[in-house]
Amino acid sequence: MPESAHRRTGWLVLRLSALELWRNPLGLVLLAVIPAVFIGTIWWTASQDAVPLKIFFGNETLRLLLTQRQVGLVFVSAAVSGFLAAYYTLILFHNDFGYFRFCAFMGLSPPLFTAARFTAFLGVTAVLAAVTTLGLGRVTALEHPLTVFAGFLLIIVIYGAYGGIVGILSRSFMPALLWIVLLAQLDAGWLQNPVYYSAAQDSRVIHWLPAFYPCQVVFSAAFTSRDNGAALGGALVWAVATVAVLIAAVQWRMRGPLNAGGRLDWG
Amino acid sequence: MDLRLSYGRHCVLDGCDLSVSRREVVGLAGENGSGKSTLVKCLLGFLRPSAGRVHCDARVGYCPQENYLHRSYTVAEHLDLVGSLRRGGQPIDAGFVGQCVATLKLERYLGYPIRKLSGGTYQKVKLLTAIAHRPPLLVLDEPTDGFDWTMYLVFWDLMAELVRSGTGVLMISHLLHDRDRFDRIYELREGRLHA
Repeated sequence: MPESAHRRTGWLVLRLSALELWRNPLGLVLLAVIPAVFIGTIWWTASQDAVPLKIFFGNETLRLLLTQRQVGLVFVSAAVSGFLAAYYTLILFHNDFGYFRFCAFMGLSPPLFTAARFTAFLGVTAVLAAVTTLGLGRVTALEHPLTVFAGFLLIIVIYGAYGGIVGILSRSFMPALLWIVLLAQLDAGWLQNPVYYSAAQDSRVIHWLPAFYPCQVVFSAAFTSRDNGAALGGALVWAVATVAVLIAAVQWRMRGPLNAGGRLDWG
Repeated sequence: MDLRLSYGRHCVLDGCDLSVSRREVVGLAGENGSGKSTLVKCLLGFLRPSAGRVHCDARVGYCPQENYLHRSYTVAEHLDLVGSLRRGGQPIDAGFVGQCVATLKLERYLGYPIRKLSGGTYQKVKLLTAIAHRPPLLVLDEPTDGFDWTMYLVFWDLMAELVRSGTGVLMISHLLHDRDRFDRIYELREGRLHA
């Protein structure tokens, strides 16, 4: 396939993927409403009392005293970003997957499909991350807003890839959604809560969960002036690994008809 | 050749031999649930047979029975995407597609979302997708479902034109009263093909 044809197909899949998200009114409403509801609820209910926190800096642990509201606002923003990212990629990689499998039979390259779909997803969710960071900056002081934004993006990439993997491998939508709710709720929505993590009896399990490193990037950038290379490195490893698994899952699910792309000879 | 497929203890295909050459229309008939669509999916690589051998030395256009089109795209968007794909390195013939759009009376539906199409129009879009790259071999699974009589005749005229230009057609059909239109007909019974 010539390079220009690849580019045209990639651009078309990217444009159509963005249109799909735009044409999903429920998704757009969730994108706007869920962060607003969660952040609003924390703002309304959390106290200004100080709570002790631990932040992971590789071999070192930094202890801080912050208000419950500060901690809650940043934590809930990270958790909501993870859940929404997984929900969006579930839609992108699960719904109408049979259509794209057929397109693979017609000559669509699975890596090109994954790249275009994931880029469309990142475009939409980068806006979500930027709006969340700006919104947070209005209600609480952030030490390094750009790094906070980068941390949200990393959560979005990791959980977005997870949503895509679940979407690709599940035959029906509801079990896929439950798998997403399960991990997003357990990991990003509960165990990564810095108050819970700081008082945990054994935090080793928490370290192995996908949202740990990007959440530590967000917390350290929001509340301290120090760079957190260890957390950033860990988050990047998780991001690369989950995206690689997503690409492999797409390739695997589209594998059959690929053989029929022109000549087919098996047996 | 000698294609076999089982789901657990249930044997769906029990040694099927089938061939299609250029410039011929081959029918595949059989009762509901006899395994016709399964056989076609094995031939095209959508399903892997338990045993047997498939050899296909040509690009294939396929119109499946399932409603697989993307519900939130318009017909034009779908055709645009399909048109950008290269089946076996073969670009789409835009002039031919334009001609087919007119023949199948699809012009007024180009801007319609696919989810809003009627059954017959949806079927026309699937058929157009299968023939867009002018493949030497066409595999059509009940392609006339939902067509009115006029469109049914248009469909056969289109097939005749494609066959004249060298296309081979394998078609699943229940309409055996149309057997004159086929060069050969296979019937699938209890997992075996009978000519």
